[in-house]
Formats: sequence, structure tokens, C-alpha cells
Amino acid sequence: MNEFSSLKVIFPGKKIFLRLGGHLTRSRMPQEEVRRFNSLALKAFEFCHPRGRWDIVRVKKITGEGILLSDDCWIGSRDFAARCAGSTHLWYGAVTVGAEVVALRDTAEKVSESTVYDAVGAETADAAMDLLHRLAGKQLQRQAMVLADRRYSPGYGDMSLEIQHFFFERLKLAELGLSLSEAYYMIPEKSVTAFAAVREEL
Amino acid sequence: MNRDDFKKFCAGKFPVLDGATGTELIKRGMPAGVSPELWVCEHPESICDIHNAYIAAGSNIVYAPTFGGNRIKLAEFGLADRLFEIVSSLSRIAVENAGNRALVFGDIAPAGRFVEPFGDLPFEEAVAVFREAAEAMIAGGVAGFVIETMMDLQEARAALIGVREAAPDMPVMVTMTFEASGCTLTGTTPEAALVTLQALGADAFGCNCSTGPEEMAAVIGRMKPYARIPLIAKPNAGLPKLENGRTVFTLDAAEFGSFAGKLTASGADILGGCCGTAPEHIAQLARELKNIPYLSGKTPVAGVIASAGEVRQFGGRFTVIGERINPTGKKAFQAELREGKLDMMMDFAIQQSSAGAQVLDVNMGLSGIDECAMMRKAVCRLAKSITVPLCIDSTDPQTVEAALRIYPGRALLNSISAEKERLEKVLPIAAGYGAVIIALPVTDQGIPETADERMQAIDSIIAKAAEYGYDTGDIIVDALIMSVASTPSAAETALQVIDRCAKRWINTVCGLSNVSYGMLDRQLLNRTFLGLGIGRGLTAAIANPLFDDLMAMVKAGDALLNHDPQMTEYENFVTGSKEKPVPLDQLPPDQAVKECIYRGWDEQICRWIDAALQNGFPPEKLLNGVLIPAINGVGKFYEEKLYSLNRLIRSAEAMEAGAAHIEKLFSSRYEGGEKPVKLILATVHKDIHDIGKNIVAVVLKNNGFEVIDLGKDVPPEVIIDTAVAQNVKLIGLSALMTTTMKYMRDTVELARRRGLHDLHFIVGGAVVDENFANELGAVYAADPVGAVEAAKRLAGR
Repeated sequence: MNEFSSLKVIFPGKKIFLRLGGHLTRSRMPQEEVRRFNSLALKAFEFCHPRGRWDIVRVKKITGEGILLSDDCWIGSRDFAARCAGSTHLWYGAVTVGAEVVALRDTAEKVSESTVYDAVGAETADAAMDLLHRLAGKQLQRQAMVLADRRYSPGYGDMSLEIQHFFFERLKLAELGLSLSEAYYMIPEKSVTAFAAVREEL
Repeated sequence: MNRDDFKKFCAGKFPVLDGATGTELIKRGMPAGVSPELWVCEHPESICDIHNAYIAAGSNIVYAPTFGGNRIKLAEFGLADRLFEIVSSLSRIAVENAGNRALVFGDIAPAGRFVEPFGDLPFEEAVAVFREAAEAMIAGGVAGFVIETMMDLQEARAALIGVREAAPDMPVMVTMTFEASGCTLTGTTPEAALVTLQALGADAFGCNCSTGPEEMAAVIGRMKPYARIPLIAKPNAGLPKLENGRTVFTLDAAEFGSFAGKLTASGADILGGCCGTAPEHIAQLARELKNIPYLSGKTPVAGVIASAGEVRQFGGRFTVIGERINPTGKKAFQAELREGKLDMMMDFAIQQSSAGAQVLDVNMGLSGIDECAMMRKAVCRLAKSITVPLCIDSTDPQTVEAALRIYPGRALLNSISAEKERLEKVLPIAAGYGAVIIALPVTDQGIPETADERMQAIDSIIAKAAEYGYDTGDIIVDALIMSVASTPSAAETALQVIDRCAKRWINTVCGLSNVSYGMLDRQLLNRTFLGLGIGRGLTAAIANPLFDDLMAMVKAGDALLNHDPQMTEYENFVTGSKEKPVPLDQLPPDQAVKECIYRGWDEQICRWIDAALQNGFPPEKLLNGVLIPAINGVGKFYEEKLYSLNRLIRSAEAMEAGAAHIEKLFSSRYEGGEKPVKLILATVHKDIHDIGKNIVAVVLKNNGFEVIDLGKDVPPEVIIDTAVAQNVKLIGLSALMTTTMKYMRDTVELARRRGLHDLHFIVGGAVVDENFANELGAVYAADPVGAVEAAKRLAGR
């Protein structure tokens, strides 16, 4: 298992703005609004502490219904199995930005502020997953493996959210301060898990 | 080999590096999951075979197989304690095999953890990790070092400092990986990386891995204008693609070699290959390079500083250095610093960079605090969130060293005077970390009065700095402006210094606000001096960028002096200013109220409502004729994407504040208007995501609904019981998870089972769609405006 107890995420300013319904060219943003938005967003970004873990597992068999792993664990998802054709391994990773930004959001005095804080947390978590995935790709490349660009997460398409248990057990996400609710959402909520296919290069 | 030997080795030709090693080792039987370093130690013939093939192909420099030979990576295999033995053996095997056929450079790659301030690996620990690895390589006899495949600038800095500490006079090449986007994964541009690492003492810099030669040529081309050292290109053999179920790289040897011309034309001086390349690729590359004449002569731009994300060049466009991060005269800031806090500093930083400052001055000089520790802490915190480069402002050598050592970029140092002690103590530190320096014309005798005397002091600093390798372009002269209140000729003297420096192409800076100290209307004097200075060739000012008029003068100056040839910066600034709202006191009070809604100014709206009421505006007319049409207008702008969601919410908050104020002033909020319709809102059972629901609540409230917000994770029974108890007929439900959507169904079905057929449901949330809503017999709302429309329709309004 590979761990990054901190991930250097680039401030995803544009994505935050887009997430908040902004349009990069059409939306009107007077200077004062830009300053206010940046100020809130950067403040929230300081409350984000991205960290994550990843690993790979060998694939035993890919069927039309899902993927059987070398340790006989079954990942049921037709959609994802179809994307994994030819894969030798499965990559799985998890990131969180921690609970501080969620607390900041929940204690904000105004909804307009909490909305920005929420967007910062969500986009920073996404950016952290992008970074973790790319870093893993670099490392695997050195082992003559190619990590697919596209990721797949529990809750997408036909992949059940129950598969979150797979990540929690294998990546020991409790050690990262994460827990899983009865409804399978992660706490702190600004956390992301994902799979991606891996192929051997040679 | 020493650094001068390396320079000579590179002069007049294109040295050739090796190609991929990892995949070649796998071809020779290295299994997956082992420590490559240990495996090669046990199978030395493998690396000898690979190196022999590369040397035969034309490689002048081959990399020792020490890629993961650092304490952190070896620890993953339980081999940390054998570091010296393994790494020195690997180096020795490679050196003895190469003999005099090629140089062997010790290979240093990422340790796999992010380094302070971006990560949890303390900077000094990272330096020690790389220093230790370099010492083992030196024992193995390497001729130099290559720090490669770096993704994070701070880790590359730590490695370079570590190697330099182990081998002050051995050559060190550094290569980083730049993605197709043109930046590293951590957001560093090629220019910023080059400027930083070249100043820190890299002997060659470039890129390896990530992309093929085509894309890499573009990255090299971006570095070329800033390069004083040879540039390295070590691309992959194109991009990987799937072929017959196997992943292969797209370029064969001939195609790969054919990019030699493009890479050298872009500025590459030292070339090799990375993933997907084999000896035949290197052979073809070497053949092609033999036919390309080497055109030497770099004319790099000087006076460039960098953060981890961007560069700033002095000269050309005027540079505003934000002055606010300085405790002098700021009591609240001083109190915070004494408590060890930096929140106010971050506010200053964010405000100034948002207002257009291109550099931020950082001064932590305050009695009663540990300036050195606080400066280090401040630099770390700023570097994590702020992208503009920093100017380290201190007179204390220890503080200067602590800041320059940790700063992940090339800083500006404010300042070095001509005083003997400062020259002797601070200049070597600045040179060691490659900082651009501000030269302050102050001598041991004090501040020279005349421009002639100041120029003499400046020349003495320039001469001393040259001994440490400084180019005049990396020295910015402080014109030393004093207050005209105490020295009437101060402005003219400073302008003469600016003038003389400009004639010698030396950049200048001034602490702008000094000129007006003790005078009336200081901003007028500051602006006027700035204009005069720009006219004489002033290139930068330490000033407060929050003054719009000052920034306007800077932009206009750049436009008029052709430093902004397309006038884009000027036009953007002026266009932005048009968005600057008309002051509300220039509008009739009812229009001011309307503007407060459009601008989302909830703190000002009450004042303007009071003014409107005093002007005889009836409250119901204010509510129905001003507030409600304004918020409807905002909703329309939101739908047209002219306003973001956040702006919509801010307007809604202003509306809420305004309506509440009217309600407070008059017992009935809707006197003469419609009675508000009650509506229950809830995030369903087992779901804690309530941000969307909260937004809808605010927007509904200021559209005349009385919202009973039950919060999140609300069981169906609570929702339905409340509806019955409070006689509510409209219920809005939110859910974000597929696993919690079923509680929407449970809630609706509970109402049906109880025979409450007059209850209407509106559903929304990330996972909900129109089909699901139809299945439930509910109305779907895609966004807050949709929720209002649905609620109005169902309420018959």
C-alpha cells in the first residue's frame, strides 16, 4: 500500500467557480466580487488537508458481470468490467481533505459563505484524487505498467455504493480518519474513492 | 569531474544521455515487486549489459542504477540500513563497467513523499535523505549527479541542496516531469522550475518522462529565454497506446531520432530518452545529432524571480510589490504575531494578490518575537496558498537564510546595503540560494545625500555582488525615497538615481509611501511620484495595491510605454473598473435598495431601506415594487449564467436581510400583500448533505415562503407529523446519495398511506432526476430557481 500523508494540490479556483454555477466568460465578476470570492475560497483551501492511499491488486478474471480479483474478491459492475478489458491489475485509491473544511462550512454564518467552503472542499478532494491517480501512474510506469486515465467510483453507473467497504478494509481508511455511514457515505464527506484499470506494458 | 569540467564537456556539442533503464531491467528478468536496487546488486551483469548497449549507441553519460537509492524508498523493502552498501556498490559497478567510455552520474529520484511546506516530510529531513544518498554515490566514484523525474519543485530543491552539501563542486543535472498541460503535477511551470533551480546551482536543467519529444520540445522552448545553463530533453518514445491488447509506445527508433532537430531548435543541449526508449532509439538520436550544428550563445533575461507556480521578471511591465505584510504601525497584526498567529497575514496576502500585486513583501521584524522562526512559518504558509513570488524583507542574516532556504522558488531579498557587515554576512547567503537582491544605497556612514554618492554606494554593492557571481540584471536598486516633508529635495534625488540606473539598464524599486510621510493627501503625492518615477524608468514599487487609483496608474503607464503591447492588461483593468459599482449615495434610495439586492450587500441594505422609508416610500411598495422584482432579476441573471450560484445566494441573503428589516419595522411583513405560504424542507433520513437544501431555503424565503427547515437526516415520520401538526401542504425533500433516495419514496408513501393526498412534494439533489420525481408523483426541481417556480406553481401563486 502506498500512502501520501499530504498531497500538494493546486488550488482549483476555476473549478470551484464553475461548480458554483459560474461561467468563465459570461459571468459578471466585478473586482470586489473577485476579491471576496478569492478570499473565501483561499481561506477554505487552507482548511483542506489532502491525503490519500492507493494500491493495486492482480485481476484473476473479467466477465460480463464484473471483475474477479486474485484473492477471489468480486467487484460487481458490468460498466466497469467492460472498461477493464485486457487489464492485468486493478488500481484503487482513496483521498480525503479532512474534517476541518467541513466544520468551517457547517459553522459559517452565511449560506453564501458555506456554499463557497463546500465547493472548495469538494473540488479540492477531486483534485487530490486526480493527483493521487497521476502519481500512482508515474510509479507504475516505472514498473512497466500503464494506469488507465479514466477512473470509476462506487455510485457511478451500476457500481454499488456498498463497494466502499472494499476501500475501507484494504486501504485501512480508518487510519486516515475516515468512517463509513450506514448509507455508505464517507465521513468526513469531502473524500473520494476510485478504481482504475492497469495493464502491463511488456 | 568538477563543475567547470562539466561546462567544458558540454561546450560546443550535444552530449547524449542514456534511455530507459527500468523496462530494460524487466527485459533482463527483473521480477515485479522487488527492490530494483537490490536486484541489480545481485545481478550486476544486467546493468552492465544495458549500459554497454547505451554506450555503444552513443551515450556520453549513463545513469547509475540508483533511482530509488534513498533511505525512504529503500525502507519500503526493509533495506534502509543497507543504503550505503547498496548505493555505493551500484555506483561502483556502473563506474567500473563504463571505464573511460562514458561518464556515470549518480541517479537521484523522488523519495515518494511531499516535502514541507507542501507535504509532511520536513525540509531538512529531505535534504539529509538526499545528502546521504549522494555521499554513497560519491564513494562509488560517480562523476556527477542527475536529480530526475521530479514532480515537486520543493523536493527538487531539497535534493539539489542535499547534493550540493555533499559535493559542492561536482556537476548536478536536474530534470523534472512536465505533463501535457505544460506544468508539473503540482502546478510548477517550466519557467519557474528553471529559474529556481538554476539560481540554486543546477548545472543543467530540463525535463524527462511524461511526454514524447513533440510535447517536450514545447516545454524546452518555454525555458529557453530564461536559461543560462544547458537544457536537457529526455522524452518518452511517444505516448503509450493499446495495440493488440498490449501497451506500446508510439515512436520507433527512427521516428524518435527524427525529433532531434526539433528538440535542439527549441533549445535542448543535452538529449536522451526515457520510458519506451531502448538502445536503438538512443543510437538513432545520436546519429541525427551528429548532423546538427551546435549553435551556442544563450542570452537569458535577468532579474527574474519565481514562486513554485509562476515567474516575475523585473523590467518591462511595472512590478507592484505588496507592502502590507509588515507589522510596523499595525497594532492588531503585531498582537497576532506575538501570539504566533498568521491569519491576518493571510488576509493581507489574499487581498493584495487579488488586487494585482505581482510580488508580496514579507516582513516579520517585531520586538518580542523570534523573527527567524516567524519568518520561516510565514513563508511556509504563504507558499502553500499564494502563487505570487515573495520578497523576503529582513536585516537579520539568520532570518534571511531561514527564509531563502525553505522558500520553494527564487525569492527577492529586501535588501543588501553597502554597509560592510551586511555585505559580508548577507550577500553570501543571498548568493548561496540564488536570490535576486535589492541593493540599498546606504553606507557605514549613513544615507548618502546626493545622487552621485548613492550611485557610488550602489556600484560598491554591484562590484561585491559580482564576486559572488551576480549579474547586474539580478540586482534591483532601491532609489531610497525619503519623505519630502523632512527633506524637500528627497523626491528629486530619488528620481535622479532612477534616471541614472535606467540609463545603465539597471532595474529600480522604491518604497512609495515614504515620499508622502507627514504630508496631507498622501495618496495624491504617492500617485504623482509613481508617475514621475515610471517616466524616468522606475521598474517596481513597494506599495499598497489596494488603492485602485495607484493600480490604474501602473496599468496606464505600462500601456503608454509599450510594456503592454496588446494593451490587454490595461483593457482588462479598465473593463473590470466598469464593473465597479456606482456609489450608492449617488442613487435615489429605492434604487440603492435594488442595487443592494443585485450586489448581494446584506450589510448595507437596511440603511437604504430606512432612507427610502424616510423619503416617503410605502413599505409594501418597497417590498413588492423593489425587493421582489430585484430578486427575480437576479434569478433571471442566474439562469442566463450571468450570475454564479454564489452571487444568487448573496443576493438572496441581502433580500432576506431587507425583508426582515421591513418586517421588524412594521408588525406585519406582508401588510397589504399576500399571506406567506408555509413549506417544509428537509434532507432525507440517513443523509447529512444539506448545503443544497440550505440554499433552496434562503431563496424560497425571500420569494415569500415561510420555510420550516427540519434540517438533515430527517426520518419520514418527523416530516409527515410536522406537516400535519403545522398544516403545511408543501414539502421539499433533498437527497445526495443513491442509497438515501429511497427515503424520499418512504416519505411520500407514508403520506399516501395516511391518506394525506393533498400534500405536494418537490424533490431535488444530485442523484434525483425528473423520472424519479415522476415515479414518486412529485415535482422535480433542478436548482433553487426551479424550486421556487415549482413551489409557486403548487401553491397557486
